Amino acid sequence: MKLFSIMFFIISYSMFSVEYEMVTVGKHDDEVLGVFVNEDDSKVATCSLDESIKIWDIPNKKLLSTMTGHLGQVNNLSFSGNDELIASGSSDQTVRIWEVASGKQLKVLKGHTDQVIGVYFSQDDSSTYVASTSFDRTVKLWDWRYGTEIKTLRDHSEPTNNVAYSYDGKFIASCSDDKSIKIWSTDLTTKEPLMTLLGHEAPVLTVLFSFDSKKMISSDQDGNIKVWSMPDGRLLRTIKAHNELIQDVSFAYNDDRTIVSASLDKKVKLWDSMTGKLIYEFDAGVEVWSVDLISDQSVIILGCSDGTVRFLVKKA
Amino acid sequence: MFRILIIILFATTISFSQGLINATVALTGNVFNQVTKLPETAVIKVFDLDGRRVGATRSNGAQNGAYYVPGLKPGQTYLVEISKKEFMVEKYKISVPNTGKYLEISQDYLIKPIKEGVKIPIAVTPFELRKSKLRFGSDLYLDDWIDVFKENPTVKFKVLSFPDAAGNSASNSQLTKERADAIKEYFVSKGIESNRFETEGSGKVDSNNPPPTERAAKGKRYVGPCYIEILSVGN
Repeated sequence: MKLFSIMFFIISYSMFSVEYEMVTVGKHDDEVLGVFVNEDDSKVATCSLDESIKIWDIPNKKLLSTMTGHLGQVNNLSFSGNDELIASGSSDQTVRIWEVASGKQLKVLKGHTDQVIGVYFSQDDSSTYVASTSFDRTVKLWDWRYGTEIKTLRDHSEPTNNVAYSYDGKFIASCSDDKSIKIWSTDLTTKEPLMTLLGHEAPVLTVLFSFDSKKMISSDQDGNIKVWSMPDGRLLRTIKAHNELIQDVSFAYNDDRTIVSASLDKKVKLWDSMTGKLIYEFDAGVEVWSVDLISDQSVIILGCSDGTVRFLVKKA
Repeated sequence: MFRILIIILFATTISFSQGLINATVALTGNVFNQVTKLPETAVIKVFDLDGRRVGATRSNGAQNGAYYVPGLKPGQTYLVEISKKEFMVEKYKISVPNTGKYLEISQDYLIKPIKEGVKIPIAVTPFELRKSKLRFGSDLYLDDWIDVFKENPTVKFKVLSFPDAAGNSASNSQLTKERADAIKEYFVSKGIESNRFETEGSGKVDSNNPPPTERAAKGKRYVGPCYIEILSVGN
């Protein structure tokens, strides 16, 4: 029996070629709902039920600044393509734009008629546009400099949960409690969806494009991840990834195929999006709402339900 | 060579400026009932800041409340008036960005029924959990009501507040009464007559919008909602 246990340990240990250790770097006053790493991997922004946004220095694992102003939980956030700005979406029905260097609130975008759940900055260097989703079932595209709604996209029949800009700037993807994903053009006039992707059997909680914009991943309330070919919208595979809802997934920049998922089942997992194979699994011991990772996958950042911001650091 | 460059630059500037002057922008969006969230047919008039009407249309309640007003100019600010029988008259300012880039801009509107007993939610509860002092920044939501009160001077209201959680009814009532009073005081400080308001704090949670009992993905922080109830419409 003892021999069997030792063998099992050896097999388990060698199951993954990578190992991470967990470090708690700081804490919000309440659950951490969103995590976003900037393009040069120097900073990560987190947002929380405590209504604040915090920016952390990744290499030094230190808190840099805290930004307050929202009058409700901050549900999600996004760095701009030039890393100089952050957009945040809140239950106070606003999208707000913040300057990273000063922590100053630059703009309040008011127009949604219910809680703002998803927000995503355009990833081009001009960083002009912000897309947002809301329980009001719409997707809105904003020119934040003027504080103007450029267009409102309506086709979801239930609250929209999250939104993503493609890195080539051509598309916006939105997902909803209606179990669908819709792909929209970013041009200034088209308001009909280009495609509606069906296949999820539960509310779809998040969507994200790969960095080359040729793939998209989505996750749902039943713990499934789907990988889609873009721009044709073909379903490539479904991964039964977790036992609880998956609020957040992310692509690794270095290979653009490894994805990280985190769930309320307390597990963080790395997957090969091309094969659906599990690369690594870590039990964080706490429900994880949000996750992102730096380009070379050496640090995974977790936003946890106990308010902690934790780094999984790859062992040498 | 330098002179030619200056001329080209000047011509380009003139042409760009004319482009801006000639460009017009349409205002488009949807009109919904603030209580039911259903689409409404309403009259929408757009005025410039000198009071000249520059456009008018009707939202189509049968088609998701959609409306479309063309002919606005970049760089200008307009007053949008929305009216419908048995609804309060509402006016909103809208600024068209000073660029020729956009053919349309979008804005949805929620309109408020004017019927005795109707409770209209304040979009975002202007208090922190278990607190009765108005939050910094809550003017963003409360100021929307000031013009409504001014445009509908015969209407009387009750500010109604519900608690954050079920619990001791007496302490809940005290908290919510203080909250309702704080909202009324804010409106009065903005020039609205005090005698147009009553206040009420409830000891019990809002049965129409109770605190969540299930673990939701997002949108789960709950602070007791506040409403403006219409007491009387007047003449």
